[in-house]
Amino acid sequence: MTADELIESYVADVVMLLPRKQRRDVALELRALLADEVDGAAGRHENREAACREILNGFGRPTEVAARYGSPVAIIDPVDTRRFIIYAVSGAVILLYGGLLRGLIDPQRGTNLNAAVDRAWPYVFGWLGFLVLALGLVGWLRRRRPAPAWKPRPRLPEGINRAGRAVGIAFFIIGTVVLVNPMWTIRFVSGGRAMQAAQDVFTYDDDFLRLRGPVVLGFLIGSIVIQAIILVSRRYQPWIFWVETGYGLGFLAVLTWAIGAGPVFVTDTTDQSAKGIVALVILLSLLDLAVRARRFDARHAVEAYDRSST
Amino acid sequence: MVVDDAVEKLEQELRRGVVVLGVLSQLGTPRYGYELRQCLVDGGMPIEEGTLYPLLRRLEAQGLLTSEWRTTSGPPRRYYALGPNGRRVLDRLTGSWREMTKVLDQLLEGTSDDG
Repeated sequence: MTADELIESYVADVVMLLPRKQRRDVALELRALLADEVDGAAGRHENREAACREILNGFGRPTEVAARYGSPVAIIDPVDTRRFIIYAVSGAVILLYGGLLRGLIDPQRGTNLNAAVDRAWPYVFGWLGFLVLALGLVGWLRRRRPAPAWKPRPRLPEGINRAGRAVGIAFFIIGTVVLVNPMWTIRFVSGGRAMQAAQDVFTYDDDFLRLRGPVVLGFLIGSIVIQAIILVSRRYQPWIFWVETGYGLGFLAVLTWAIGAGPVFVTDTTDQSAKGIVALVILLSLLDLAVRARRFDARHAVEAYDRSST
Repeated sequence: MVVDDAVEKLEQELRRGVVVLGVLSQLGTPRYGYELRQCLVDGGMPIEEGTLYPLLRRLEAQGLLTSEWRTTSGPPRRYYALGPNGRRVLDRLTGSWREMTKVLDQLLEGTSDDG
C-alpha cells in the first residue's frame, strides 16, 4: 500500500469510531496532519511508505486515537467494575448450580446433566444483561446528580447476636423433629384426625431412609451443635467463621446428593415439591454464605488495622 | 531496569501535566497542528502526535482555542489560536506554574539537605 492509502485506511478506522457529527471534520484534519507528519519524517526513512508506517504506529491504535478525540462514556463506571465482576461471577455460579440441581431432581432420571446446566445459560446471560443495565443506570445517575455527602454506617457488631442465634436454634430443632417424623407431626397437629392418605403423602422412601436420611440428620444435628457452641462463645472469632462456612458448604453438598441420588418421599408430588424447596434452600444458603464471607473479609481487614494500631 | 522503567513512566506523567500549558503558550499566533508540534519539539518539549492533535480539539471544545481552515499553499489546514478565555487561562496557569516550581524547588532542596 502507498503512504496515502495507508493514511486513508487509518483515518477511516479512526472516524468510524467517532460520533457522526465529528467524522467529517476529524477526517479532514487528521488526513492533513498525518500527511504533514509523513512528509516531515520521509527524509529519515528509505521511502515515504516506511515513514508512514512509523508515524501511524507512533500515533497509536485507531481505538485509542478515537478515544482521545471523543469523550468516551463507560457504560459501567470503572469504580463499579469490581462489583460487577463479583456479582456476575456469583450470580453465574448460583444460576448454573441451580440448573444442575434442576437436572438432578428431574423426574425423568435419564436427563443428561450437561443439558440441564446448558439450559441455565440463557438465565446467566439474562443476569449479566440485567447487571450491565443496573450498574449502567447507577453510573448514569451518579454523573447527573451531585453525590450526597458520605454518612457513616453503623459498624458491624463484633459480638454474637445471641437472641437471633437462640431463635434460630429453636427453629432448627423444631424443623429437625418435623423432618424426622412428619407423620407424627401431622397427627399431633390434627389431633389424630388426619386421614391416612394425608399421612401416606409424607412417607419417606426406604432407600432414602437407609443412608441419605441418616447422613442428613447427622448434619442437621451437627448444625445445631455448632450454633449452640457459637451461642456460648464470647465473640465471633475467625475460627468460628471458617468452621461455620466449611460445615455449611459440606452440608449443602450433602443436601445436593440427598435430593439427587433418588426419591426422598414415596409420593411423586411430595417428592418433587420437597426437592424443589430443598434446592431453593441450597441456592439461598450459597448466596448467604457468599454475603457473609464478604462481610467477614471486610470486618477482618478493619480489625487487623485496629489490632496493628493499638 | 525497574528504575529506568519507572522513571520513563513517571516522566511521561510529569510531561502530561504540563503539556496544556506548553501548548497554550505557543498559540499566541495561529498555528496548524504539525507546525505547533515542531515548535514544541524545537523548544525541548517532545509530544506524541496522537496526544497533541486530540488535545487541540478538546481545548477548542472547552472554549480556550479558536480554529479556522486555511488554504495557503498546499492542502487545507486547520489553524488554532488562543481565544480570549484561552489568554486568561494561560495567564493564570503561568502564575500557578511559577508558584508550583518555587514550592517544588524548596521541597527538593529540603530533600537534598536530608541526604
